[in-house]
Amino acid sequence: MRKRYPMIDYISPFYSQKHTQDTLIRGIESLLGSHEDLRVCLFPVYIESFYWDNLKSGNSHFKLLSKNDGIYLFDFSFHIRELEEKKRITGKLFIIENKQYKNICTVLTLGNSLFFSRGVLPYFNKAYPRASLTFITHKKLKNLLIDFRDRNNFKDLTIVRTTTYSRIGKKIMPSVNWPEFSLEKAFEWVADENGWFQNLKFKVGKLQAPNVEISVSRNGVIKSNGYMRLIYEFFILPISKTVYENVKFFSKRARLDNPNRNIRPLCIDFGYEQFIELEENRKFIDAMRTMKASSLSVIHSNPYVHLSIFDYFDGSSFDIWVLSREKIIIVPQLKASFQSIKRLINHIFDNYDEGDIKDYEVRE
Amino acid sequence: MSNKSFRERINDYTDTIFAIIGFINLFRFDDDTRRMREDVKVFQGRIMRTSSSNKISPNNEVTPDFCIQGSNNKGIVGEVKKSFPENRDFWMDDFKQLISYDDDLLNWLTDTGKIDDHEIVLLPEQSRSRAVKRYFEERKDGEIVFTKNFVIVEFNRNNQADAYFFFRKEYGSFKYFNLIDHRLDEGIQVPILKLMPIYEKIKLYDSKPPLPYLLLLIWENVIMLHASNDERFGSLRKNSKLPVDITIDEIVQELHENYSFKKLNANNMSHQPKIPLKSWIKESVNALMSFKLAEWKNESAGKCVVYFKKFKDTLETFKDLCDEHKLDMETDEKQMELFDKKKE
Repeated sequence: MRKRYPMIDYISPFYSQKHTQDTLIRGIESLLGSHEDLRVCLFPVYIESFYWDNLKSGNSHFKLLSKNDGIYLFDFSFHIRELEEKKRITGKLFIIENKQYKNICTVLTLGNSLFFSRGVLPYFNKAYPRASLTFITHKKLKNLLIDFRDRNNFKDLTIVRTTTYSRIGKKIMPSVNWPEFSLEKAFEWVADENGWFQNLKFKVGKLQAPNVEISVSRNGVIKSNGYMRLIYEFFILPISKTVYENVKFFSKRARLDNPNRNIRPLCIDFGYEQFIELEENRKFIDAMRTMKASSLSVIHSNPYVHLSIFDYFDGSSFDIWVLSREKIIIVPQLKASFQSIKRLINHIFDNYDEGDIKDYEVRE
Repeated sequence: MSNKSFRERINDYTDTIFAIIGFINLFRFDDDTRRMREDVKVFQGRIMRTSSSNKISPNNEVTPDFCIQGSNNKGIVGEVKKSFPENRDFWMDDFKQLISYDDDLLNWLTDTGKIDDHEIVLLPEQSRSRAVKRYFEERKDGEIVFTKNFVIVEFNRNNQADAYFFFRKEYGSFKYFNLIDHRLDEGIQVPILKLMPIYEKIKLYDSKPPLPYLLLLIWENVIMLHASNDERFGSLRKNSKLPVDITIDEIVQELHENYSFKKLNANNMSHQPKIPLKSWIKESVNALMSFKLAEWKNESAGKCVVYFKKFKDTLETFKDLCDEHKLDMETDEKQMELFDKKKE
């Protein structure tokens, strides 16, 4: 039988160098240019300080190999079961501390994408809420892509593969498509489908780089076989900023974190009359019922909506109100972590609809 | 009792809180500054002392749903009645309660505990307000006599998406609060959007909530809060239980601090019962014991262990469990009994 693991380590010299952020990015760009099958997978992530310290100290998965200029190189190990055999897989993983935004890092791997998709990404997903990836709204995703295309003059940028989720009645239906669309056309198409892109793969242009494919996921995961420098500048840095801003915006919303235990609600503003028919209340409540690891209690459903939601990951809880046609108001209760607020809003955006997240000003 | 009945009762309970907050805020809100007036004091469930000449309950204590103390040393004492019993024989009890406020009540927030005068207001829900008014008018020179000014203000919650509470005068006029009185002639709409932030901190008033709703509040704000400090919380499986050691006093204190009228009661807790009452919480813990979700560790000291469990729909689960164990059944007659006890 052909042995698939561990991955072939043909970039050892690169790992043994002391990198700065600049040499790391340029080095990866150069490696991608000279190794056709090499891929970089990376994502910005919030990591709680004590958890980050634990990773640096080492555990059964992480072993710190070197550090320089906020760049940490680890041996990362995990187990997989293959044909009833448990195998230990080990590979290299960079974690780059963001110099501007506290607690925000970029996790980066080179090479075997299975190492990333079966080991690294699941590890960080499971580490929630100590580590937390982001979610990129559709509007933001479109803006990132337009910015990337227009500022680099990639006129022929074409969407070549999409993983789409469509809201069909009470159900969310996934589908994979190979549309060969322009950016604008792709976003029009998914809007017609009442859905969103979970993942979107594109080529920058037939002339400039015929073989380079870049994929961007809603959770901020980027995979590519080229253009590392541009990816870092046009995707990783702005997404890191979003992660940081979300942390700041969603933090200290719990009543226990505020003087006099005051409430600090936020709202999702659709900017138009979303809740016109009573059926819309039902649709929204049905969408909320699908939230994993949570309790949803309906206190009131008609004519206004009042829900109580518990998050079973960390014990956060929220009241949710629909008291006007344009907005959903979220009132974090005594305990409400920013991770949980993010998860809640992410769920609403994925399973109901997207709107603008705003502070909801309270006047008593 | 069906789940629907619990749902209706929870609606009644929350509507009553909205109505109390909405009505008293009409007197607190200053249209010029767009802020709440500091010189108008409001109280919910304040224990007021009656005089020896009280026609219903001399030298005793009464607890109106709300008292408003104006800067003019005049006040309003009122009751909100979301639902009147089907059986009109019981209506006289409601009026007797109001007549018990027809007295120079003590315990206002003044040096002497007295104010110059107060008016009495009844807030029935709109669907019954005409009938209640008729009932009163038929008896006002006989069985029901007020020496103080008496007003009926109907209220309702509209059934539109932009939900609001509506208050309109149905009988009489406020003689000491002219500005509001004129506005109440035509009726005043108060959007729930404006009331919600206050409600968020006041989910309990001095009447016992339906048991499933109280259990939901306890579960979310006390038990889950404690359980989530346990490192096993996140990985707790669906049918597993996490023990939480707690006392009745702690549950009372945490709900009182976070969800009672404490802050609105002019930050003056003298003559204010501590809501939720200890007896409600004890009843709730006993219910959890029936559901095998709690055990006494030391009943006389109020110490118990509650087994936290993750439910998919916590309120619905507690409604079903209350149904199954026939807890918190309520009839018109029982409602009146409880009501009489509360007012004794």
